[in-house]
Amino acid sequence: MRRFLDKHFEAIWITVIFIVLGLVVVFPVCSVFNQSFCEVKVRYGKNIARYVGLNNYRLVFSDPFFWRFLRQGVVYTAGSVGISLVLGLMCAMLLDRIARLKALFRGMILLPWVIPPVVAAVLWRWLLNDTYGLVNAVIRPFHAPINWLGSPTIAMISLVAVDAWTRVPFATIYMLAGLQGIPEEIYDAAKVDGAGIFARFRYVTLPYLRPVIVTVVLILSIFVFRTYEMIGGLTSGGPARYTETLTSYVFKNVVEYYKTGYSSALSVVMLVIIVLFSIVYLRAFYRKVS
Amino acid sequence: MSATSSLQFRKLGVIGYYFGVFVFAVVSVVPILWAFSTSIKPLNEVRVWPPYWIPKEPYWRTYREVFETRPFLSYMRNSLIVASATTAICVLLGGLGGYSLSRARFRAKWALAITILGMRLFPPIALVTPWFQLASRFGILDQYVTLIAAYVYMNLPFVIWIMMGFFDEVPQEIDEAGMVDGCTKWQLLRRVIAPLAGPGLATASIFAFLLSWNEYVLAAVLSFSERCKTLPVGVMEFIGDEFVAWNQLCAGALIASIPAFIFVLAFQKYIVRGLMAGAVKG
Repeated sequence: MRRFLDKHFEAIWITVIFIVLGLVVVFPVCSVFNQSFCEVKVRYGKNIARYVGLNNYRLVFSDPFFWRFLRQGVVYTAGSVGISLVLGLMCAMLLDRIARLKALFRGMILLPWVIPPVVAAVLWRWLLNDTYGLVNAVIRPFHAPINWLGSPTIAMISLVAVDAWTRVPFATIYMLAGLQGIPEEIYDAAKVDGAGIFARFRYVTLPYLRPVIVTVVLILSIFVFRTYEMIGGLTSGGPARYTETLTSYVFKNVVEYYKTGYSSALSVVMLVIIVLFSIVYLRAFYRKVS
Repeated sequence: MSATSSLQFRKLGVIGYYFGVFVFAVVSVVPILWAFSTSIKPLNEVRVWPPYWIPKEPYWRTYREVFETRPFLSYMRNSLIVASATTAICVLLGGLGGYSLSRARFRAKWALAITILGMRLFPPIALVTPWFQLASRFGILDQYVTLIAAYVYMNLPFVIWIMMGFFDEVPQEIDEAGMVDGCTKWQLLRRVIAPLAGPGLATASIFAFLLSWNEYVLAAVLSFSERCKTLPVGVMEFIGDEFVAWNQLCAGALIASIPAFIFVLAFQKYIVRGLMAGAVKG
């Protein structure tokens, strides 16, 4: 017995892992797919499901909210990922150049990413408060108070900015590791060849960082696209649902409208979008890396 | 002459770098400091325009009010129990799984590893409904078990992935030497490999703990009384109030961030390492 356990140790534990993951993953996932073809009603505390074929999907694609929230979600994701990428790269390049107090600064910069996303969202809801918020106090010498979360465009900008605030640390740490992998000699060689700061950045730093950037953009895109906490905590989807995304729409369909079938179909569509995006993205960028 | 000016130029550059980093650090920290400032003001000082940083007199009672007017103590207990249990399970299973995958020598190994990671592609929000139905069918809604199971799902793939990377760095010869000396696999893992993979275990634990402590969506749906609600859910509740007591909200938010502060202060190295292990290795 003992010898058997020893000999097949790896196989046994791999099986155990897959059984556990199977229990907690496969069943819910199958259930989502199944219910996306059903109309689920609660009668006397019991779920009664009736197959309605593709009806839920038809509803999804003819739902004006779906298209609107998809668009808003894409704007939100692209904005946040773009800002995080640029600022993360900047921050990493700066951090890379300093020697002292590096751990302290890195720790401070990590904080927005480590605190619970809900906390980040509600804190910024307070900072962006139109009557007593700190941000309006800061811009007071230059500008009248702005209703940061009250008008459609500005609310989206605020949402993007705050979300980026929580993602920059992630991008920074990745970029920093990437930067540290660039051999110093290449910079020296470029310098000898007369390359200025910008040429070195363009022809040495960026090409070397390319794989890191490709990875960061993919991971962040997936994470931002499916974020709920930020929207729920910062704007609650408002004003007039101008900061809602597909994720918050699914959440509302589950928690407020109890539309199980419809929300399942929405989830499946979301999954398809994420998978398609990942495939297209990797096809476009990853091959050239390796 | 040109040497000195170039030196001065370089010095100026270094100051510039420090200044830039400082700006990033300040922007990262100021909102949290402002939350602290708000949390030690009484409500009438919170609603003042223009706002100021230092309260006339620190009003520590806000923190007591949070615990008195809301079941924050229960929320803390729940968060602690759920996050700890999740971490323990994930590290145990993830450690064994990661080790096995790292040492396994069959061809489908990478396919398996990728499948595990791919499981995380599914948006957690989509799993809320099935989890809810499953839990209500078994009558375990609003109980720790449900949340812990959900969080194991969320974290286990990631932990396996991290641990696999760390075990890959422990040379296989050590295993073989141990086996020759007559250890069982179990003893070998516990006495030899686990200490060597210590940093990996620390990284994985910190991540599993932090991610389950911070999680909101599943907790919001799967728990609905103070018996099971966790801190993020409690923090979000402030916003539902008709009249938001911002000082209490800030106090609650800071309480919910305590592990984050501890980990950044004491275990920053592991956080950075864990962040990296996720994708650079893949």
